[in-house]
Amino acid sequence: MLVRDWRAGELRLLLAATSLAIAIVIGISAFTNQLKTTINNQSHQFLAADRVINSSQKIAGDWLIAAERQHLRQAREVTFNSMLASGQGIQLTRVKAVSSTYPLRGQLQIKKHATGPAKKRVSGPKTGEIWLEQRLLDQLKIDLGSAVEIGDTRLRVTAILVAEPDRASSLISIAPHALMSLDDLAATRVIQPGSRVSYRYLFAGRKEDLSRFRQWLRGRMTDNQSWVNIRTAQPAIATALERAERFLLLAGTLGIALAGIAIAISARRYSQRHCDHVALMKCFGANRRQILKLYLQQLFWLAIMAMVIGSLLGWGIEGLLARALGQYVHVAVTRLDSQAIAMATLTAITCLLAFAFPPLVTLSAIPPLRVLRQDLGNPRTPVLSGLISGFLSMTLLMWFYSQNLPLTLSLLIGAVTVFAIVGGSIWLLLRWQRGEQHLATGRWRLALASLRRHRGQNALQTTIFSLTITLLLTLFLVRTTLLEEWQAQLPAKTPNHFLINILPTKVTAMEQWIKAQNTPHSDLYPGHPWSSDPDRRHHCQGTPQTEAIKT
Amino acid sequence: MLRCTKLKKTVTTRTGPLSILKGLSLHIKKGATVAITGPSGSGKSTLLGLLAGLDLPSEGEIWLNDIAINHLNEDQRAILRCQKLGFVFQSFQLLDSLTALENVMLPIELAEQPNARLAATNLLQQVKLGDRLQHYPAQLSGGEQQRVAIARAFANTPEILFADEPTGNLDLRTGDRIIELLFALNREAGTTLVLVTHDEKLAQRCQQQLALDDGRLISTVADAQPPC
Repeated sequence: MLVRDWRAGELRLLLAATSLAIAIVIGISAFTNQLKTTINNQSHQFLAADRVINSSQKIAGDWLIAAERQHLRQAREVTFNSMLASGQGIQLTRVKAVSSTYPLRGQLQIKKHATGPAKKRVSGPKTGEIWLEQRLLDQLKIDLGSAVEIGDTRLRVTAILVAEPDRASSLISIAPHALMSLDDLAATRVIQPGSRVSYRYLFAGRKEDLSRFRQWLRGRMTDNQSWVNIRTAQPAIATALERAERFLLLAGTLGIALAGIAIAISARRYSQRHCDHVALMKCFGANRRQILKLYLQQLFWLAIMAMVIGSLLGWGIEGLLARALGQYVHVAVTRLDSQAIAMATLTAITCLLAFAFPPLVTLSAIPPLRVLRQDLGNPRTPVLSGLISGFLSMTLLMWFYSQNLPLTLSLLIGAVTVFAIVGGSIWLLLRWQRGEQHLATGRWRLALASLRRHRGQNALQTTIFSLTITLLLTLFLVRTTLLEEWQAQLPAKTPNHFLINILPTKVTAMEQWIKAQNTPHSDLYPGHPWSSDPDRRHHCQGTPQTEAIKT
Repeated sequence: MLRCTKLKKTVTTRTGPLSILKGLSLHIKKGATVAITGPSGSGKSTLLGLLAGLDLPSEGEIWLNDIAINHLNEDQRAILRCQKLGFVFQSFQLLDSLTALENVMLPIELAEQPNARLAATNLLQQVKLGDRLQHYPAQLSGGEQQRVAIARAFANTPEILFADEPTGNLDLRTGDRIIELLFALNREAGTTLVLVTHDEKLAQRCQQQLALDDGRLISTVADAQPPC
C-alpha cells in the first residue's frame, strides 16, 4: 500500500514536510553546536587560557594554591613598557614576561629566519632569550642572534615574534612587542615601586573546576582585579557570534513550526483523499484494526524514509551553513552520529504522531456505507484535541531543539495570540456576513454561502495560513533587523585602513599624497611619538598602499 | 438464503426523524437474481446497504443463511462481507492510485488469500481485460472500468453479489454489454444477484422484482423463468 500510494504521489508531500522538519532540526542544531564549540575553542585562544585574572599587582599566593586544588593548569604574564636598547638604537617596547607554561590555549608563532615561514610553538622563550617583532628588529637595527638590553640585563634575540594568542586587538597592541621569560624579569630590575605593570594569571581546566574556583574568588577580588572570560575580553566578537547563534536558533525553531504546519496540512489532505479507499476496504471486509495497522505501518515507513532523507538533507544544510560562514569562522562539519540519529528519530516520531497521526486515526472510523452514500462526508478530526496535541508537541520539539525555554515560550505565546486574534476575527466575520448575505447577489451569494457552510474549516485554514505568513515575515524581519544592527555598529564611512607612526616632518607630504589618491579619509591626528620608517607606508603586507586603500 | 422481517430504518435530520424504510419484509432464495426497483428516495440503496451489512437497521431482522446480520458487530460484519459478499457500484469505485490488476487483487489480499496476483489476472482475462492489467482507472473507458469492478466483485467467489445501478453511468450499448457479462459470470459462479436499478429492461431480466415506494415494498414479481 505504501509503495502504491508513493507511486501515486500522495505521500510525497507528507514525506517532504517531515523530511524538512528533520533536516532543519539536524542541520541547524548540529551547525550551532559546532559553532559553539568552535567559538569556545577560538575564544579561549584569544585569552591563551580559559579564564584570566587581570590585576595591577601580584595576587596572593593562596589564590594559586586554591586554583591548584581545583586541578587548574596555570600560567603567568607580567606586561610592562620598557626601553629596549641595542648598540644602534633604543625603542619603547611592550614587553611581556611569561612563565614556562604560557600559553595554556592556542599557540605562539615565531620565525627563526627573517625570510622563513612562521612556526608554531607551545611555549615562550627560554631563560636568557627574548623574541622580538620584526619591526622591532628593524627599529633597533639588529638581527637574530644579537643581544638587547632591557633594564639591568642583556637577553639574546632568538626568534622573530609573529603572533601571540592573547594579543589584544585594541590600539594599545600597536606598540612593538617583545616576549621574554618570567625567570629573567627579576634580573632586569625594571619593575620598581610605581611602575605601571599588568599582571595576568592564566587558568585552564574543566568548566566545573573553573566555576568552583570562581566561587572561591568571590569576595576576595578587589576593584583592581578582574575575572576575564571571552565575553569580557572580546565582547564584540562574543556579541556578534551570540547574535548569529540566536538567529539560527530562532530560524530553526520557526522552521520547525512551519514544517509542523506543513505536516498537519498534508496529512489532512492525505486522509481526506483516502476516505473512499478506507470505505471500500471496509466494504470488502477490512476491519478497523486492519485499517489502523495499515496506516500505522505507512507512518512507520514514512518516518524511516523521512529520517534518512532528513538526516542527509540536514547534513547538507550544515555543510552549506559552514561554507557560507567559512570566510568568518571555520566550523567543521559533524559526522552523522548517534546523537544526530536520536534527534532525527525524536523529530520524526513527534511530528508524525502530533500532526499526521490524528487525521489518519479518524480514517479508521469511516463507515463502509460511504461506498453507497457519498453524502456521509469526511470524518471530522477533533479540532480542539488536535490543536492541544499539536501545541504541546510543538512546545516539546522547539524546547528540545533550542534548549531555550524563554525563546520557545515567547514564540508559542506569539503564535497562540496570532491564532486567537486572526481565528476569532474570521469567525466573527463569517457570522456577521450571515446576516448580510441577502444583500449579495449572484456569484457573491454562492461564494458567501459556501464560506458560511464550512465556516469552521475556513476559519481554521485561513488562521493557519496567516500564522505561516506571520512566521515567515518574523524570520525576514529578524534577519533584516539583525543585519541593520550589525551595520549600525559602525557608522557610515567608517575608515577601514589606518596610517600610524607618521613623523611630524612628514605630515604635510603624507596629506598631499593621500589627497592625490582621491580616497575618502579623515584628518591626521597626533599619537604616540614612536619612531618609524616613513618609507614603509608604501607597502601594507606586501600590497602597495595605494591598492590596499582602494580595496 | 437472505431474508428480512419488519425492517425499519430511521435517520435523524435537522428537521426531525426521517423514516426511510417502514417495516419491510422479503425473502431471496439462493442463486436467484433479484432486482430492487423504485423511484428516487424510495429506499432502494438503503435496503441494499442493510442487506449487505454495510449499515444496521433501526428495527427488524436480517438473516443471511442462519446468521442474524443485525446482531453482529462491525468487525463481524466485515468478516461476513469479506467471505460471502461482492459489490458492484454505479460509480465503479475503483481506486485511482491502483492499476486494474491491483484493484482486483485488493479484496483477495484483504481476505489474506494466496496467489492474489494469479487469481486477479484470471478474472481480468475473463472480463476481456487481460491486456489492460497495468492500466490505471483513468486510462480505461467507463465500460472497461465497470468490467474491472465486476472482476473485483467476483474475486472472493461471493455467495451474494450486490450491484447498485451497475449501468447507471454507462451508455446504453455499453450498459447492455456489462449486464450480459454480469449475468454470464453470475450464472457460471452460481451466485445470488441482488441489484438496484431504475432500468425496467434490466429488472425484467431478473427472476424476482421488488418494487419499493416510500420505504415500503409495493409489489413482488417472481418470474418462473431462469435468468437469461
